[in-house]
Amino acid sequence: MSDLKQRIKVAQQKPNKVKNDPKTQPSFGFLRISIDLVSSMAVGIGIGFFIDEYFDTKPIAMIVGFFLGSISGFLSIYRLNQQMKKS
Amino acid sequence: MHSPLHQFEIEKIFNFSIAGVDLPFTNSALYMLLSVLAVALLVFSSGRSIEKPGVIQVFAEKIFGFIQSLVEENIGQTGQKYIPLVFSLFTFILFGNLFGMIPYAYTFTSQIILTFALALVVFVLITLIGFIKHGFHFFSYFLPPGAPIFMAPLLIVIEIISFLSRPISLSIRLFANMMAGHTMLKVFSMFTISLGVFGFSTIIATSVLIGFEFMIAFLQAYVFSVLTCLYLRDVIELH
Repeated sequence: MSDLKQRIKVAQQKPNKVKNDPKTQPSFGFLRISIDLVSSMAVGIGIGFFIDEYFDTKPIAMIVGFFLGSISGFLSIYRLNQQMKKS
Repeated sequence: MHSPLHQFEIEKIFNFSIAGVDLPFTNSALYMLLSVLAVALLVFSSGRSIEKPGVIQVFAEKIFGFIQSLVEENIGQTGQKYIPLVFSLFTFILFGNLFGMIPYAYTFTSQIILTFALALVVFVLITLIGFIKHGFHFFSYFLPPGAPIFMAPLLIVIEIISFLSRPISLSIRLFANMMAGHTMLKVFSMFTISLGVFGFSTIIATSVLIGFEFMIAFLQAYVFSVLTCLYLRDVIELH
């Protein structure tokens, strides 16, 4: 009986331990970096492409969109890095 | 022998139409239905009995506790009301991935339209929650705090692009991981036949890859729900 009580105590303490330890909180930055970069670029290029289609200014908006999308992708990578450093 | 991409082909099981609109019941829909039924089984079996919880009840309550701690860690106490959303997203994707691991079964999470629809639900929801919680003050989300005002035009455009890229990165991550994993498995198992006597080496590799695929199945469902939580916190707290 005392063995069971001790086991219950240990089991009750376990989840609290996990919650308080910041190292066990995963951010999975390494899984997110590549696709975050590519998708930001894709959105930038896509927006530029549709602006080009609409206003008939063929390559200009797409090039601008490419650069803005790249900046936004690198910014999201920088933020992920900061998050990973914290945790 | 079928090509490695044959497993992603959608086949009609029976035709069905409402008011002239074709809604064929496909193999993708069949596994979605199975996955929804599995989630429903989890939901209805939880909270049944305190003295003698069955296996399914313990499993369901473990998953619920896991999602609860996930939401509390990532959103905080205010995030309690989003637990059902995150729970249903997590279990639906998890069962989709796991049913896909059964031989001859169809992996519906390897269809980009499905993952994009799920990501779009999350995206529309976070935008709506931002507007409901903060009103027009929500637009201040697009200007990082402490930024000089003359940089605003550039920064706002960049922030809007990174906000719009969220559903795309969410959907592509899940779809690409599932599709790439299943294609790789098929390609490796085809080597087993073409290598003849040396096929045993690819059998070992494939067994390892199957274990890896199970890990990916859990991990991708987990990442999807973690990111949903992170995006929710972003719009709830606004910086």
